[in-house]
Amino acid sequence: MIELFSYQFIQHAFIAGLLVAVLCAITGIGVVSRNMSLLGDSLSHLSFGAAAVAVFSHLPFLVLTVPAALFGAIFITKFSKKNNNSSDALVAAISTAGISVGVLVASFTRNVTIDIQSFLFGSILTVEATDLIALSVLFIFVSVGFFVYKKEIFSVLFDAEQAKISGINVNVYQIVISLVTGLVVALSMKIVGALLMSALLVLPAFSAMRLANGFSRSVILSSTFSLFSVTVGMFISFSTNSPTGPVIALCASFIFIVALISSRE
Amino acid sequence: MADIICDKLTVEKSGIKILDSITCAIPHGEVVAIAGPNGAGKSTFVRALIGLEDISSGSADLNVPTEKTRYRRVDYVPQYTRQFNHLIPATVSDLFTFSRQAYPEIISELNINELFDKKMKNLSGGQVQRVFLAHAMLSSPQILVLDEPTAALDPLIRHKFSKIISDFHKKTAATILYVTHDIGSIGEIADKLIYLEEKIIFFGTFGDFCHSGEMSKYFGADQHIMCHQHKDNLYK
Repeated sequence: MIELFSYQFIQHAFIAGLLVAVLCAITGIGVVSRNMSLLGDSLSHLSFGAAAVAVFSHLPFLVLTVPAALFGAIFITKFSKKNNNSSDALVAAISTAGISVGVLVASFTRNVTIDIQSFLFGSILTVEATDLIALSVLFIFVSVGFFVYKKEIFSVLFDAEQAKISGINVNVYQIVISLVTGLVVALSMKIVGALLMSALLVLPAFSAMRLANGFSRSVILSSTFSLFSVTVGMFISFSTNSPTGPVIALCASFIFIVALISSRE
Repeated sequence: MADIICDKLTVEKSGIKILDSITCAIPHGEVVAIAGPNGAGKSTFVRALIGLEDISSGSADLNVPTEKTRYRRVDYVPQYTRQFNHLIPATVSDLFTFSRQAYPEIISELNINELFDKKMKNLSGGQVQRVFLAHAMLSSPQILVLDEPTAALDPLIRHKFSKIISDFHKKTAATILYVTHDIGSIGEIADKLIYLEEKIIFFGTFGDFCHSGEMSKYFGADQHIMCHQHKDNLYK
């Protein structure tokens, strides 16, 4: 098992997995606490549609998936605010449209079925150096941003009215949180896949928020659960020669069920 | 220089006028009580002042310089327990960790120490109101707005409330606006009283209010109110 790590593509996969785990854990707190758990699903399905168009047009997939996810994030956040958080119909519509565009475009594209499948279910072993650089830059941006603006982020998520009174621009923070979520989804999709994105974005954060006592602890616990799911998932996947994304998703689901049973609230 | 300035402030909701052309100036450091019958627009008035209600016409300005911390020194304790996000597993200490610690004595005065490790969502309504009251006063805001702050408090804390507010005001010289139906506490701690009924019906000292006809309108003509006050400057 250890000798696997002598291969560069395994090293890339492992580093990418850990970066995605922490990114999803931190942004997941912002997603779950705003009752927008399906935001991740919707953005990843939209990104899948964009990725299919990118493959069809022979463009680098990030050129289309990043703008699509950012646009979706702003659109859903704005719509949700206007309609008093009743955005589930819009989220469902965007999810369906994204998947439909992806499958439709894929049907017109010859010899790229494997590419499309890797976007749907993840393909951690195809992570390239450019993916790692993009994930590392986003990881630094999110970690430093969270550390510097922790007070403001807590205030906006916990009590937006109080945040507004004290002069915090609540709208800007909410849009930035959604935009960062869009970026995380667009960059992580290759690792865990569009269909399984919610597993890392929602389950560790939700489990941590059930069990933790305190905001900072919930972020640390969410990161721990996410790192555990990715690490154990990858080891099981490599040793059993099974697809990585679904195994990671099952590990996160297992933690989620344990958290649900063990938390008394 | 006035801390709060309203000019023809009008608020309408669904075509119904809640506040009608209110003009007033509240100087820095004054304690002003806001009274009036149910539905008079008291809560809407204070919420409009701090930017939580959309203003239909006119203006409401707070003269509060933004500090180095970038944030306004304004705080607000709402009428009912604020609808904070129950999904966040925040503890009471989270709330205080992220706050400016400028008036720490309030923590013990409101018995908050015993609640520090508890999750906010597990507290009772009265405990939440105590926590928000302490949180608001802890940061020593320049303007403190309280909307029926004693509504959910137990009698012991309610009894101490006037003293807590007086001590806070003496030490911080904050401008305090508070909505109340407790006419007794107005006599104890307020410099002035605004009597509101969509418009400002009365704006002056409690002593003048007692001798005006508005008092009997508020309590009913058959009620006999004995007015006295504890604050030295009320009957000047």
